[in-house]
Amino acid sequence: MSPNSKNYFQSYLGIGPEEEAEMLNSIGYNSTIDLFSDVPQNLIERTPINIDGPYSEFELNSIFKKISQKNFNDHLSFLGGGVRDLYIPAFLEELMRRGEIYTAYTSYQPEIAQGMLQLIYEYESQVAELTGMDVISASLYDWATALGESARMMMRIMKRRSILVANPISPERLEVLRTYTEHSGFNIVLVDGEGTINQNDILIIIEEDSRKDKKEREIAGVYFEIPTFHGVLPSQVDEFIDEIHKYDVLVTVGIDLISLGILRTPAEYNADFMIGEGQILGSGVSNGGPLLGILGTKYNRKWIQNFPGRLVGKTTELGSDLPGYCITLSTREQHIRREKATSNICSNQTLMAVNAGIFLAGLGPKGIRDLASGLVDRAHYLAKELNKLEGIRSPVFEPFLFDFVVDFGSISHEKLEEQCISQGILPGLKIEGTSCLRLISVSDKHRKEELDYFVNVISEVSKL
Amino acid sequence: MSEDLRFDNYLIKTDRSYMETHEWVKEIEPGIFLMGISDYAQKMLHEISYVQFEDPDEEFEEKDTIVVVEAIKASGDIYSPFKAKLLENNENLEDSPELINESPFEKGWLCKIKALSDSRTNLISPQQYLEIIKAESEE
Amino acid sequence: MIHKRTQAKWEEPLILNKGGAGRRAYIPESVNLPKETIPDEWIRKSPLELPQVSELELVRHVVRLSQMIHGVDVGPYPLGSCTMKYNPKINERIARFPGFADMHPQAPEQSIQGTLEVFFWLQETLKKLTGFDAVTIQPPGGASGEFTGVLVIKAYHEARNDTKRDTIIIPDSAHGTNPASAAMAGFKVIEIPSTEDGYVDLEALKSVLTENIAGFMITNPNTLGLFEPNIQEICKMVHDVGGLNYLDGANFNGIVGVIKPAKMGFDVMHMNLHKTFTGPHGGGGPGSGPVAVSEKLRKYLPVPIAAKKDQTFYWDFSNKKTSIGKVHGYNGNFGIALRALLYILRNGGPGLRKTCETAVLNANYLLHHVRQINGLTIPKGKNVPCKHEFVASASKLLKETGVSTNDIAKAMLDYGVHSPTVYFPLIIKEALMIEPTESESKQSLDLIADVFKEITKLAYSDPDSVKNSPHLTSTGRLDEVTLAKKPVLSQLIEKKDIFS
Ligand SMILES: Cc1ncc(COP(=O)(O)O)c(C=O)c1O
Repeated sequence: MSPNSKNYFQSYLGIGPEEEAEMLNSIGYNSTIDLFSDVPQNLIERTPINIDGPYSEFELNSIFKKISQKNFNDHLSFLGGGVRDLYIPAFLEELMRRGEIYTAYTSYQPEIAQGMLQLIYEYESQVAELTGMDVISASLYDWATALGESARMMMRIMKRRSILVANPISPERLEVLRTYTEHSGFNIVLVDGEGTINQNDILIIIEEDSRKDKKEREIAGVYFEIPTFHGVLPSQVDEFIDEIHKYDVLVTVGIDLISLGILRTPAEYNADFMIGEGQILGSGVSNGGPLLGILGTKYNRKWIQNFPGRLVGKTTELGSDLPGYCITLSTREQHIRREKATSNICSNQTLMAVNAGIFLAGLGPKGIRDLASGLVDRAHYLAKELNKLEGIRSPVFEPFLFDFVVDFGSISHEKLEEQCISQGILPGLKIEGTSCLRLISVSDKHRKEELDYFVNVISEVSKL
Repeated sequence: MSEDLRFDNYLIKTDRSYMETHEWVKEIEPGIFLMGISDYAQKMLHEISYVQFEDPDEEFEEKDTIVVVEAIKASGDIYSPFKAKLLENNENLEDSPELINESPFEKGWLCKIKALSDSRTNLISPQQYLEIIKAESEE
Repeated sequence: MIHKRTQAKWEEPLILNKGGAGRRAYIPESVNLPKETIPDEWIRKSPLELPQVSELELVRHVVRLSQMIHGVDVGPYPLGSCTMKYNPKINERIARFPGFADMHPQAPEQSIQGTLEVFFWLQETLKKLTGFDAVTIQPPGGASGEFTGVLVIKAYHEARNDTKRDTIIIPDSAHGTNPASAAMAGFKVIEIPSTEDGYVDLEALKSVLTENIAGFMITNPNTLGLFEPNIQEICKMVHDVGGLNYLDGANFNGIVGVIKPAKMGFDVMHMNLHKTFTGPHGGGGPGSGPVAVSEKLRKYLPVPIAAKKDQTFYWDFSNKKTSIGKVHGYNGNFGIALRALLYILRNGGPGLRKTCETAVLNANYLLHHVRQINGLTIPKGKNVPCKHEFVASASKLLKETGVSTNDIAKAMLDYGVHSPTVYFPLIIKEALMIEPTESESKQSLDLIADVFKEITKLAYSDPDSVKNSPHLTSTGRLDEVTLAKKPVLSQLIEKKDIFS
């Protein structure tokens, strides 16, 4: 790849070489480098830095087409664990290519950004409708950082320093949570469960903590996921949350947004905060980003004052009753509160929030129900079929929803991956610390034939 | 009582003390103080939209934030002038934060505190406070 | 007279209030499998009132709304500190190649060689551009990069058992994310004042440099758009007391390709790929905030980092034990990182240098014209060229006419020009922070200057018309106060009538 010396970059410059001379002249300079005369001259590079390029557009297109084709994206994938590779309708992709939308920045001047602000408000309103939570952040980076923010928020509100976390949780989310809390003196206490939430142990720890003097209490909140990282729907969550609340401890639940097409909402079982991954609402998995961190809560002014990041609200034009939308409650944010801000977040994932809003509007109530139950049907069919194979246990934990853990018995992770990849399959997520357990996730891209193919391949591998 | 002071269109009541950070502090019984923000401060913040209170009975060190007053594009931390216990918040402000703009010295009071220390070094006189806002507005 | 423009004014209802029963824009793929049930206790009971619209209805809705948004693709966007440069369309095409858009982040290494190559290539390129030794692409935004960077500083001191270093120094001109990130990492923050000229006050800095200082965080070119002339001395002073120097690279566009930040004496920096390297701003994000560090800090960066052995790429977890931990669930905003790499490669070394010089030229050209406008002043940087941006003040105008920076910002919108960043940095009263970028043409710079001229002139003759602006945007000024008192943050809040 020899760099081409042509001036391909001129495409992106607003002024041509002749104009440059004219403009310099008009402000009393001879050359552009003279505009750096104030800089200590030992810092200035004498020649252009030696990096690859410049490339023509055509060259870039071909080089990166080749690079993209090195990825096995055409493989039949059962990878999930937080993000999910779902089909994206064409109208959505087309709409998201509108330059007015993606080349704008934060709507600091609401009068000239009503379209953006309304799209964000529609996102907030639809996620509110789906989850039953009144207030939805717009937006956080991803599920993992939303967990970090939510944990910090619970500790801020309660003025305590520990969070209980129900294991299983994805190792990545847990690690981010630790980065967000443990370096600044907060504690994360993991409570292990077998595929599901260990409600008993959590309540014992909280009960013990509650006996301390008010000022000595440590536990601010509990975090668990529904379904859990191992795919399980826990039972009697309402009673569990009621118990936690009795001890004056907060609850954040991590949820799968699409599951709420059929599942009870966090508002129904009275969770205080809700977080999740918005990528599944119409964006690509994109190698892990950009994603969309979702955080919601019921209306409680004190809590909302502790919310991280942007919020868009609905108001009216001054002197008329026409509706208008703008960013609100900014006094929580870094540009005003600085070191006392509720979070440092500034740029966020707004475009993905807009995308998610349009996706939900396209799906409608029936669409999201169909999408959710279609995933349930696929997952359960696949789990049963796999279970019919000799030496394979599927699912390991029940009851499950969209994802399930499979015990591949004597087939090691290495062997499974090698064999499956050679047959065009990415066989789910390896569960850390196990020799043969994997989390299998389905997608609406899977038809029955594809599920059967996976089962056949596993069947062959198990006989090797 | 001496006559109230004025600088520009900012009123400075002379029946109370001030802090450099724009709070007013008024002793209503021995050791018991009302606090609020000055006319100058409420005008700098513009329309006040929310007051974030702490829980009564909590204790605060000198210079700890005891109330936060929020407007649209600014917010102000109200600091405890000395080690103190929070006795009461002005709950009327929960529904009507605009009282701070309308009546910063009376109806818009923020909280009632009890001094837990004898230090008054953070308090300044109305005259001294006038000099401070004078300097600030000339900047 | 310059031409104004009228923005579209669709009275477009909320999508939730459009449509009709049974309309469905998107019907998911059905599957021919037995129906499964879920446990009874889990069946959703609350209503689910999502919109029911046809595909055309939805498309029209979004297209109409998009016409009520100002983006770089619509008109000038001199929003200081944000580097609103053109977003090349080739980037959009390539980012949507299926191999990039549809790939799961946790697929086995052999199946994501393309992804790893992109990460690796970008890491190597950013190393060369910054002069640093190691780079992580994981932070998903500038603020996240700051958080990562200050945690790296913390980890460095802790590893040496130097545990008393609990304070970060930040100039009062800093962006709000700097103190917020330092505080999030558990540091105390000391703010130091700037000099009359807007630079770091060396005396003030000296007076707070103690053995409790973990680091110093600064933006250079600073938030006034000025290059700190004493930056090398400053970095040395901090090093002399054992602290580390952090560069907020939000203003990299003012020096990229001309100066390597590491040479100034910094130990760690973040970049904002959505600013300098054309990640589209997306209405507020996504961004991407890679962090570059010197050799001695490498082992504290989040893992994994893309690496290459022979011709194969892999994820390098070797520093997992010393790392500060992950700051994103996966590997950050790959999509933005990819666009940044494409932009950098399109430019090459010569192109980036030209880009930077042109951005600085455009800013100085506009500065030259704004300086002459009655009512506006340029409080700092009297005798030096600015870098990629500059800060004007409308204090004089406010005093003389009652027209504020906010009013100017609103009035500009009627000309199809986005306003500058306003009221930042905090050390300038009535600040207007103006960054035209290299993308704008001479005509467009002249337009911006003429718009300022016309508005300030109007401020003297008819101040009310400025104070009541904008008139031609899709809405006039909004009632932000009522909203802050009664925050209607979703239609659900409206439906529940929470505030009555
Ligand atoms: C000077 C400066 N620092 C830091 C940031 C934060 O970057 P981000 O918005 O990507 O988090 C910004 C962005 O606005 C900035 O202008």
